[in-house]
Amino acid sequence: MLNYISGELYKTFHRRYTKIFLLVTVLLCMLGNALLRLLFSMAGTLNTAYSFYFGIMLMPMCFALLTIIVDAVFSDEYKHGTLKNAVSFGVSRGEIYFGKLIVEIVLMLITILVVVAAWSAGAVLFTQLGPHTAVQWEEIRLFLEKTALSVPLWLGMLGVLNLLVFAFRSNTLFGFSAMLVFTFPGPVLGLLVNVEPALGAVYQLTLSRQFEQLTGGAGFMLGGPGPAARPVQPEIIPWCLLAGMGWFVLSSAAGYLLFRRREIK
Amino acid sequence: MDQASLTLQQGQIYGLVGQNGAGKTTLLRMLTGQTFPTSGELELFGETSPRGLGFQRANLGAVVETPSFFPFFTAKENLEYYRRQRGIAGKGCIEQALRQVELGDTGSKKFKDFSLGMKQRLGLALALMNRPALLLLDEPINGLDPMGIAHFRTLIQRLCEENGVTVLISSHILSELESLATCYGFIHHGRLIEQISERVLRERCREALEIVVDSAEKAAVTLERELGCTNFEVLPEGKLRLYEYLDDPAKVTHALAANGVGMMSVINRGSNLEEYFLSLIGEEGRQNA
Repeated sequence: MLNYISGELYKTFHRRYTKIFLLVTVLLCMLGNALLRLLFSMAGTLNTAYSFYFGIMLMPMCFALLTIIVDAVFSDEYKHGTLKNAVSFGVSRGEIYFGKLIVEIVLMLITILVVVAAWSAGAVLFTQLGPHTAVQWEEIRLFLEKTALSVPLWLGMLGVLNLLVFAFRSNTLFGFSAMLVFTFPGPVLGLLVNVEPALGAVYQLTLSRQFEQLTGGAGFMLGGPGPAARPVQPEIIPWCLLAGMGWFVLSSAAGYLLFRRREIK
Repeated sequence: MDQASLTLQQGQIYGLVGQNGAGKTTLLRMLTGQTFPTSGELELFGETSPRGLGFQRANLGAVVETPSFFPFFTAKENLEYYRRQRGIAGKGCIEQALRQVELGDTGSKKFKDFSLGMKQRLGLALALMNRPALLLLDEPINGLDPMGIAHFRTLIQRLCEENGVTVLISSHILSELESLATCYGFIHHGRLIEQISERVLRERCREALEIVVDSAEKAAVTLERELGCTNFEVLPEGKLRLYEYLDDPAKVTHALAANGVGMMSVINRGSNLEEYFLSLIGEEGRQNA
């Protein structure tokens, strides 16, 4: 397993794709803050704190970054037909499936560090010019707390994405399925709860519900920070862990079972 | 596949011969774990458990179907990835494997820019990198130029002679297989119908008078009684292969004609691997019917 992970780490961090991905992520963080500065300067409410609230609000959208991470690690192995080189040498399906998952987690953690650093730097660089000139440690702490609580939820997403990338031989299908899985079912279930309250228990276990509770969803308005600025409620911590790790374990088990007897072409 | 049991001796070059769809690639894909038997079990070096098979596969080097690598990496980068994945100590094996297949000077050229021949050679380099006990090669000379084919032949022969590597080659190019293999397995409709050594094949393909007659039975009796022949074969469709009287075919035709055997043709010929295989699956087809 360690040898397989070593190979995957070499491939992932040796290719230009990953380096460009991290660079573009940094640039997007800067661009996001630059746009916030433009937006709030016009509204006359420029505030560094808003940058961190906006960062919190964007956390559920990180599935897009996770999709790229999974794609970078999987490296189109079905398309290039390279998995057969590993299985021919006796690398087990479990080593392949979980080896890639581990490397995806490593890249995810690195990306989180890069994003947090780049977003914070961007916030200081672009938005620390409003009425509050000092660095607002409270908001940074809130941003870091909510980032930490998002990690299990992102792990859940990563587990599902790993299942999808192994399930679909086509990269296009993988991309579409990832978008569908993380954009539609959660909100639709949320609406159905209004019609059928019994669905509330199921909805509570979705990643989108936990993200909504943690980050406030799209409640960020020009007039104020909305739910994103709310302090972390202690009761949501176990739910974030339960939902995130639950999805991670279930999707990983399902993905492995699917891949275990799959024909490699 | 149905009861395909191949026995390979160390250092042997085993040529797997069969038509398209006969099961050659399926057999290699099962041996390398790319596909699984729908029923029954697979045994490799005496191991049948998934764990045991996985362990034994570390002794294999394989190029099955087209060689596949990451297009964004160079030859060295691709091999470095697999070196780490396979836990092979030291980077020297990469240089050595690339030199063996004459790809030592590809530099920063990416795999996506390689010619088909270069891709084949890189596949072979990967198969050789872990110093395998058994090499499985599926159509290894596809895309190689004449120089490449000659080099490949020399390389395989050297590996067998010097390192005791055993090689299983599946190829459609039977003339090439004939110049390389020391043993043959003939596969037809998923069944291994015959395994023979090079010596036996040469014996069976040796020069003979091939006679086509209206009655093979009558001709056989004539050859035995009139000419005292014992060294001949009766083949399907009125054919006889006589390994005697090669320098005096007139005596044979005279004897047959005198005994009322109608002759369609008499040809002095030695068969080759291709003809042998075709005659073999002809017999097999008749047996199935």
